[in-house]
Amino acid sequence: MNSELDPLEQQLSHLRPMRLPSSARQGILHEMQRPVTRRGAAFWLSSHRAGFQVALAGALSVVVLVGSHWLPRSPRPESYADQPAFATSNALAFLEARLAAGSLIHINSVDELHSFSMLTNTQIQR
Amino acid sequence: MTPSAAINLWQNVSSVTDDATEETMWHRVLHRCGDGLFLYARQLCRNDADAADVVQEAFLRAWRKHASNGVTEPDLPALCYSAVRYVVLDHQRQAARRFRREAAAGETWCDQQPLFEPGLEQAEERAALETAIRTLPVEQREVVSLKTWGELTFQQIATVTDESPNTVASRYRLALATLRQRLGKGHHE
Repeated sequence: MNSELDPLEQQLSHLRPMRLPSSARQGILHEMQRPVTRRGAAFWLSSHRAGFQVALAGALSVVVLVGSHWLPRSPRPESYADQPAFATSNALAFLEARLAAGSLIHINSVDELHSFSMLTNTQIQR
Repeated sequence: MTPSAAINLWQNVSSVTDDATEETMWHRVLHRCGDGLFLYARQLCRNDADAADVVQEAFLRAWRKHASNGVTEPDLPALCYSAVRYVVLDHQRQAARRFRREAAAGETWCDQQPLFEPGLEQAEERAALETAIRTLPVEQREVVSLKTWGELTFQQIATVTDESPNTVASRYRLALATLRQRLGKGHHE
């Protein structure tokens, strides 16, 4: 853009607009210097806090739903298509076998251990 | 006294009389653009008291809206001028009947208060210039005001006025041509 001003533009730029009345200026400054409008800030915070709580509750609900679906109810899922559940059940079976090998529990009784809770209870009983 | 010396004097006086504590960019923009916003509002409001109210409402509206959304200082003047325009339009909608009556009365300003600070010299030239500016159509006067005293770019003016940059630029050129013509006639007479 051409930054050079012609004589008329220079003349215009030398004119200074009348000043904004001090009452208006003071009104603006006063409003801006109010203590961060506590009422507005409180509303902002509370609204955002409520929103955050709702979002957190929703996220937790989703986690619980997905987790309950994802964790296997039986150690052998019927379908290999359920890959996460299948991987989990394999890991669980391996863990059970290792524990049984070092314990007095017969290897056949390991099949009865279908969950972490049972395993933990058995170990507690020992 | 040279024009530049007069401007320096004006700026010094302005800085002394301003109570704006330059804490934030909003304070700086108010200090720098407050008078330009007032001039712009006066051109749209035709009433100094209304114009002052409009500037106050518009500036605070812009401040509340943009104070915490990461807007940068170079963008603030255009936002404030835009807010002035919106507030004026709001007021005009609220008082549409009164506005139509005023508009029907013509382009003359209700109170012929001077638009500009009285200069220390070349008062005659300044008065002629002001008279010529007053006779411009409102669209051209708006663009001249935003360009010259608002120091906005054509792109920013286009955003403020909801027009295309080409339209804004051609209005500005037309306004300058009209001013030259009127000032030339005045000098020849």
